[in-house]
This record gives sequence, C-alpha cells and structure tokens, in this order.
Amino acid sequence: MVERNLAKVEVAGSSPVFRSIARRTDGAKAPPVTVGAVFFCTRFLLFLRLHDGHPCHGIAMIDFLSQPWPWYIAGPLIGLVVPALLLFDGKQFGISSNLRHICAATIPGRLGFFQYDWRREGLWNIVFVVGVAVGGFIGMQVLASPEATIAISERTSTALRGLGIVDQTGFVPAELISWNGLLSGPGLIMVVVGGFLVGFGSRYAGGCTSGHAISGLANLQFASLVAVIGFFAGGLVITFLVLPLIL
Amino acid sequence: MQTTDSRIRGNGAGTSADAAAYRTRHDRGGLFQRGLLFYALIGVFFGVLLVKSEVVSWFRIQEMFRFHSFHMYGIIGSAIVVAAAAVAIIKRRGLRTLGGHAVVVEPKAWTGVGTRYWAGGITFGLGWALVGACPGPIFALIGGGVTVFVVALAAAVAGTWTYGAIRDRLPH
Repeated sequence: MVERNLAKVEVAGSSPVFRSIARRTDGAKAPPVTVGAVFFCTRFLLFLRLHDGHPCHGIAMIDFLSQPWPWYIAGPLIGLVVPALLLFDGKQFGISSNLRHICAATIPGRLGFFQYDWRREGLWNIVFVVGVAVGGFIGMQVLASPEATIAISERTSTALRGLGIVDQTGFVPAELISWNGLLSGPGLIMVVVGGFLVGFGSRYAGGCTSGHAISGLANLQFASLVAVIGFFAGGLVITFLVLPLIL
Repeated sequence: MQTTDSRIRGNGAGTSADAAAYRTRHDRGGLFQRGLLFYALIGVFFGVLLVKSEVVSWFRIQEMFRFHSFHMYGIIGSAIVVAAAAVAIIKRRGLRTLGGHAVVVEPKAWTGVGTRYWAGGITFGLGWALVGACPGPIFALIGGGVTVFVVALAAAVAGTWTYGAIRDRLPH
C-alpha cells in the first residue's frame, strides 16, 4: 500500500506535464495559444447565446446538442484528439492503420506486410474506432438532428440535382449508397470501388485524412502536404470528370 | 563465482521472460488495462464530432470538392491549427506522457520524388470522393445505422490487403 503510494508520487513528480503546469502558475508570460483559447471560448459562448432556452438543463441540453455543430466548435475539438493521444501514451492519431490491423488479425496470408503483433501495435486503435462507431450511434440516433436534410450550399444542391441526385435527405444519397443502391451500377462503383480505393490509397500514401491532413500537417510534414494535395486532386477528378460520366 | 554469475544471469533471464509473459497477458487483457477505456472514450468523442459536424455526409464532401462552402475547410483547418499548436507546445516544452515517457512524433519518411505520397494521395482522393467518406466516417456511419458502409469497410480492407500484396512492385 505504502509502496504503491510512493510509486504514484514518484510518477507524478517525474512527469514534466505536471511540472510544467506548476511552472505556468508562476506568472510567466502567456503562451500564444492563450489567444486562440480565448477566441475559441468567446465563439463558444456566443454560440450558446444564439440558442434560446437554457442549454444546461435536461431536455434543452439534448435539443441543443442535436443541432448541427458549427465548424468552429467541431474543428478545434477534433484537433484536441491529437494531443490527447500523444500525452496519454504517445500514440499518433490515424484511423486508416486499423484497416491494416484488421488484415493482420483476420487474413494476413503469407504477406510480410501483415506479419506483426497487431494486438501490441494496434489494439488501442481498434478500440478507438469501435468507440468511433459508438460515437456514430450516439450522434445519429441519440442526438439525431431535427432537420432531415443537411444544409449544404444551394449551388451544390443544384449541381447534384443536375446529376440526377434528387433525394438529398440524410447523410448519403439513398438511391446510390444503400443496400438497394448496390444493385445499380453507379451505386456499386461508389461503395465498392470507392471503398477499395480508400483502403488501397490510404496505405499507399501512409495515412488518410486523420493521419496526413490532421496529424501530419499538425507536425508540419512536407510528405503530408503532398498527400493532402493528392487527396484533393483525386477528389476533383471524381467530382468533375467521373461522377458526370457514371451518374 | 562463475556459477553464481550464470545463476544470476539465468535468474535475470527468467524474470524478464516472466515479465514478458505478464506483459503479453496484460496487453491482451480487458478494457481497463493499458488505458483502453481512454481510447474508447476518445473514439466516442471523435465519432460524435464527425456526425454532429456533418463530416460523415456524402453531400458535405461534394460541397467541399466543389468549393461551394467553407464548412469542411473550417473544420479541417481549425483542427490542424489546434493540433499544430498543441504539438508545437509538446515539442518545445518537452512534455512527457502520463507514464513519463518522451513524446516522439515520427515524421513520414520522404524518399526520391515522394511517389507514394502523391500517387497514394490521388488514389485515396478518388475513393474519398466516390464513397464520400474517409475511414473515420466509415466507422461512424456503420455505428450510426447506415449499414451499407459495412460493404465499403470490407472493400477498404480488401484494398489495404491488395496494397500489402503488391507493395513490393509499386514505386514508393
């Protein structure tokens, strides 16, 4: 008992996280990030005030959270995932590695690329994406938005109607990306070919939107900038050349 | 003397093997070990954010690639700014993990003209715009009840497997 307590004290004492927090309180000059934090908090308070009712009570809170969240709330919170993982146990934020872990766990075959201890390397990340799925359930079922249609820009809506996507309710075009949609050529291409390219491309590039665009650019990596430019080049080709062709 | 030495060494080896066995058991243990619950909770947090910010929407991705709205750029941009500030602070102050280890952010290696980054990036972008979801949203959509994304996930796993099978023949 005594030993355990001693160990705890030692860990806390040796961790510069705690020490640096302690040092901060000595009244040293504020880091530039304070400016950003103040801006964020101000925007958040404004966001709270823009909604009527008292968002801190029961049903009103759920109603409040069920509204779509503006980018300046969601974006910074997503950004915080990176330091949370780094400071907890030095893990780097990246979702697509899980596709490799799934291969290593289920169908490694004799491929050297999948011969590693996936539990050791990636169990934390698999648990993370299971959490993402649970979060998806909470976001879409518990905190379901009262609006059936996402408020995309009128120009996009018009352009998509021009391509024959008339039903714009929900998160995905139901005529194409659904079990019935798989029976249509375009739907099959979008789900199966699209999914395949996501899996192939993310491993080829060494990361996806989370690993390259967020983690990678946050670390100011040139490789990630090139990859993100590639993401956009590919996306533009599909949007302006391929979709008009197949839809 | 020699016997003692070897016994000590033997003991040492035995202890570290025991430790390794313990660690393996520990690693494969329940949700509360190795802080797995923490990762689950951060995952839930991230999943809710993906849905409530509408990043999981195929329509939002189209809007982004058509440059018709600032929404997606605002989300990704502000996430990068916050993450970059945090990473810079962690590096500059030499912050350590809760377990007291140094935080090492491994940069992606750049070789030659960086073929894998632009070729892989373009491939990923083609898929992203088709299915309208990157890997994170695929998991969130499955959990949220858009079950057809199980097919997209299976296709993505197949894509990753195919990469693993032919990577030696691809330029990197």
